[in-house]
Amino acid sequence: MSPRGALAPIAPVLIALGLAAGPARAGIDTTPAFPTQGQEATITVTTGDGAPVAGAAVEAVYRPGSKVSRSETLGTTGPDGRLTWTPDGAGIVSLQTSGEGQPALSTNLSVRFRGVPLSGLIILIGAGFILYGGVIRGFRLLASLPPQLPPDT
Amino acid sequence: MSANPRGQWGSRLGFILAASGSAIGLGNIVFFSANAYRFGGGAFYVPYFIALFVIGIPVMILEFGLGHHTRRAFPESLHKIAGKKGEFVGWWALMNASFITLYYIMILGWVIGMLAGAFGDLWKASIPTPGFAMDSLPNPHGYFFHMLSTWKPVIFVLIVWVLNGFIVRRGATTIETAVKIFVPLMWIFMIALIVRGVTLPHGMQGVWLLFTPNFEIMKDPTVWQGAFSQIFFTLSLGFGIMTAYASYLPKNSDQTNNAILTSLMNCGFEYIAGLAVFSILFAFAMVPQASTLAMMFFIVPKGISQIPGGDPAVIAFGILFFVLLLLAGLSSSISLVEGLASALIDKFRISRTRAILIFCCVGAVGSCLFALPQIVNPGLQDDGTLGLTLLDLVDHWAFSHGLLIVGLLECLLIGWIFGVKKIRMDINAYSRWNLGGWYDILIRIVIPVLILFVLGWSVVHEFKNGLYGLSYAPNFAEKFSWMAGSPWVVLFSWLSITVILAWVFTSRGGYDDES
Repeated sequence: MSPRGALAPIAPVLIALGLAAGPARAGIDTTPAFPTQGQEATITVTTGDGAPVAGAAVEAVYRPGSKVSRSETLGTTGPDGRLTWTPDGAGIVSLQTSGEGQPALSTNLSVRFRGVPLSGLIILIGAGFILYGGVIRGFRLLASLPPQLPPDT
Repeated sequence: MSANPRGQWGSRLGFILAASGSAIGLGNIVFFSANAYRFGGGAFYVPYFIALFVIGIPVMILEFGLGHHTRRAFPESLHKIAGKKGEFVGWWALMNASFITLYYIMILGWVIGMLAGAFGDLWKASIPTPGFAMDSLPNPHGYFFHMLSTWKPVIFVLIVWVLNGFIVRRGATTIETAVKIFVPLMWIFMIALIVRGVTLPHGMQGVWLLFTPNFEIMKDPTVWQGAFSQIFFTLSLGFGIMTAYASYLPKNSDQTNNAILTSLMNCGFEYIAGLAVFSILFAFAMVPQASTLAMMFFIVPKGISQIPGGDPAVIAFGILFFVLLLLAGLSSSISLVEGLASALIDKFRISRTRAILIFCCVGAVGSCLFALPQIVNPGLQDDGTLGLTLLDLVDHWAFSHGLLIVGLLECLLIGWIFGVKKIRMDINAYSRWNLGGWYDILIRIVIPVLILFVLGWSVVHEFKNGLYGLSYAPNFAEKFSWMAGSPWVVLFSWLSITVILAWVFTSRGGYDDES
């Protein structure tokens, strides 16, 4: 049933909302838009009016908000506001910029898996087999009985 | 017409749909996904399955077996096996469940409000939010908090209570009719969301994100604590519902198969919900939040608002999502209402109509507490309105602690006082799958120890970080600074009200077979 969930205030969403609502929203872009794990991508940091931001320190947070979250310092942007990056993990990644005199920007992006991850495929199939195999078995047992319940006295 | 005056399910399928409909609620659609993301994706399935087979299914069998053995609602069932102290635990469980019902139905009221918004306003870029620090908030947050800061949710909550009263008006008969419509629709709507999710650009990658494990995380005890809590809550254990539902089955029912089927259908629904939610999250690079409300009112709607195909597609999938939430919520809330109604009927020999009227009227007033629209936290660092703040605090005690306490007590009462072997033999007499002596060890020792571990962990957390909610105080607006002690007031109120009412119900009247 789980109506709400333990220790789960809404606040962090709203703090993130402040970031999303600001003018800095379009300040960090990647090429390609959906980078692939292990393949080089280009990060471009721009000001609100599209001018490149040089010297901005960029950090990647892999799977933000999770227990397996980890950070990686990617370096600083060049004069053209660009930085190359090879993501070493797939999933949702938060890119953040910092640096004295630099705008603090943040954006989320999704990094694609390189091919189909075998461990993920095994768990997908295994979990499905346990759950739906059990459901099918249970329904077969149920179907072997008369569907209508006899009056209980 | 049934020969049993308490009423009876018309078909075996009807019972399974009702029990699984009760278990599949709002949390199944979004909270599992949030937990799976938080606890390492596919690696979470290992403690999750262990928890399902070690705690979830055995306690589900126990609750079904109790109803099957005694043929009564939860308090009278526990009275029959452990006397007055058992009955007290039964009433305390139902009083605790009633607290949950009050705000659960408020949440369903908000779902109706969001469903109304899904026809248009919810998808606008932003909406004026007078009274909050930001004059207008981007949607869907803006729409939600604008709605909460008005009295509109009171109307919605009354609608939900009327719907609940209408559905349970003839007990098992009308509940069975409703779930035969609701539960298949829920599965169809969820499949439609999956199809849309995985066909989004890169949507399938979200599926790999959900299932690809990071096994490092399994060394962290909080993951195990999260999995055991998740299983207990998701299966609707500790509410007394499953005992009430099983009491409407004839004696020759296979409760082991019923419990396994109900549990696996519930977890199977979470499994496919994860496919839908993760594909949408990945496609739009959205970070899940470990909160059911945040996930269903902000994160998933934000994803839906970006679905390609223009306004018609967004509106259609928005409506589909909120109708799905409403159906899942209603199939759970009717079981909560029925759990208390059946206990009142059993104890006080009042008519069903009277029991439902009393509960619905008192409940509707209680639910309105969570609709109080005063803005206590304009900066929205925490919960915003007075009603939402109260809900958050009550949920922390009634849901996160109360249900586990009930689970622990029922295992101790049945395991150590009544003797779990008697229940086991009764279940085995009609089951194809016989439970062995290992089941007694699980109920007497293993499950109580695991629940104590989860509860103990929570208490330690509370001691180390301060009482839940006290950190809110600095964020309250000046005119609500008097609420700084509200976490203590809520804790005291929840404990005292549930204990006093349980004592009153236990001490008044008696059961027919009482000596």
